[in-house]
Amino acid sequence: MCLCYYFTKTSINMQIIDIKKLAIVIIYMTLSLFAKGVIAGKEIQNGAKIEFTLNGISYSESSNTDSFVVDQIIDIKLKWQNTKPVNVSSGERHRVLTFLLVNEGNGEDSINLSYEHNSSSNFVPANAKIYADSDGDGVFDSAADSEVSAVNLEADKSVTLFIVADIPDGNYTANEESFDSIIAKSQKTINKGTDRKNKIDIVIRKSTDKDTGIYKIRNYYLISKKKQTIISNDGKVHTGTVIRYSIELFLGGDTKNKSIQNINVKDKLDAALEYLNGSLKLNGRLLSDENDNDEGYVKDGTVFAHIGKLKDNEKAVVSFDAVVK
Amino acid sequence: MRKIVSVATVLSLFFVLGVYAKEITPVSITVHSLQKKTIVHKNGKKSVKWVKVAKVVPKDTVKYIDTITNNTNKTIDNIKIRNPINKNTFLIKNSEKSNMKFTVLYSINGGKTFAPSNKLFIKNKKGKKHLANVKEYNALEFTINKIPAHSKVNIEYQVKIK
Repeated sequence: MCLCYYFTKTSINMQIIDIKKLAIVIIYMTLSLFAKGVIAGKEIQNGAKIEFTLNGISYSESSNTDSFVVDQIIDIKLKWQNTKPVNVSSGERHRVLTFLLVNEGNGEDSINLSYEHNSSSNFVPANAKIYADSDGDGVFDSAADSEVSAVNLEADKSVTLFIVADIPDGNYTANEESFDSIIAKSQKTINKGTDRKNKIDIVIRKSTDKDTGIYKIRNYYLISKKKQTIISNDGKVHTGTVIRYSIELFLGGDTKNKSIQNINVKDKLDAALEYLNGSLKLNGRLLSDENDNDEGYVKDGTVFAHIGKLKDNEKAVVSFDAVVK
Repeated sequence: MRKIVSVATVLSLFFVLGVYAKEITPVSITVHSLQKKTIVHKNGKKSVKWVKVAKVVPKDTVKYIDTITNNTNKTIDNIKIRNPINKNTFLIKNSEKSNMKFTVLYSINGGKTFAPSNKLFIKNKKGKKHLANVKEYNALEFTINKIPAHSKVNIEYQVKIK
């Protein structure tokens, strides 16, 4: 049996956290909550009283009561909250653009929401959906936040919205961008006919707003290089031949002061290979095969390793041996 | 015939009472509100006109006009006209006007007492006094020295919707 190449399938997960974005969202929400005036529908009444003396008799008379109702201003504002493009990479799921929708009118408004992808983008995110920040923490959480196509907002209230999309697998060039928007449109319309003194009329200031967020392909990324070395006297692969695999991980691109966190390696061995017990290493240090306190383990023909954080100029090497069946 | 006489008597009585009722209201007062409307003319020029209130939103200005009618054949002196300022509005400073000579006082206690603007002080929670801001006024009192017999006087002031 001669097998020239045995490839194992490696997948690498990683996470890049930006704490600054979260703080900015919370501050903006606090600032936006200030009064916009008398609530729509409030009745404003006025009447006068007159007092005078005639022929030694004091008189007091009251006027009619003048009243009118305060009308409703429709004024919605939508603002993308990320201060810079959200860095993404091929294959990442649930990447989030954050927006804030504010009802700056003086009455409750029902607002329709729709997603729009700008055709001038370099790539197209997949499965884009709009979510409302139902738990109000300013951070997307698929378990707590709800997908929405419309929201009701009382006067002076705001809601954080998210575009959540997947970045399709592909060969992207660093700094390629995708422009993705939310369009918010009030369901309220101007009353037909003449204005009414004692009923609520609609006054449109801004009934539609749109803002665009940007996904940007990272100009730094994780590079993984996988090598295999055949350990046999004739350099050929036979049953029982040991193949040594090493997966080298490091940052590429514009890596100055950059880091990538929570890196995990998952490597599924080909069915024709069997993991050689006790061969798993991280940076030359032997790890146990069991899922315990160290950074790696092997289960059902799959090698797992937790690398954690990699900074610029750092490197991690996961290695293990496999035997040809 | 007796029925006709009775009906005529009742009608006469209503007429007499009606006249009497009118006579015992020597001065009447009506209030109405106006708002500004921008008119665009055919030549493109714009002008502002005061029209009856129909569409009002926060920060709009409303003008109140009180019309006081002296229904008697005598001049009436020293007439006081009191207007509350709705809590959802505030008075616009120096907007008070009349076609007769008048003085105006203000209240910061819901119309219980009135005083000139430079005599109205409000105490804060720490007991410190400050001169009341026009936005803190909640009533105003016009005094008109004289209204001639069978004549009308208008007084007006403006408020802003909060």
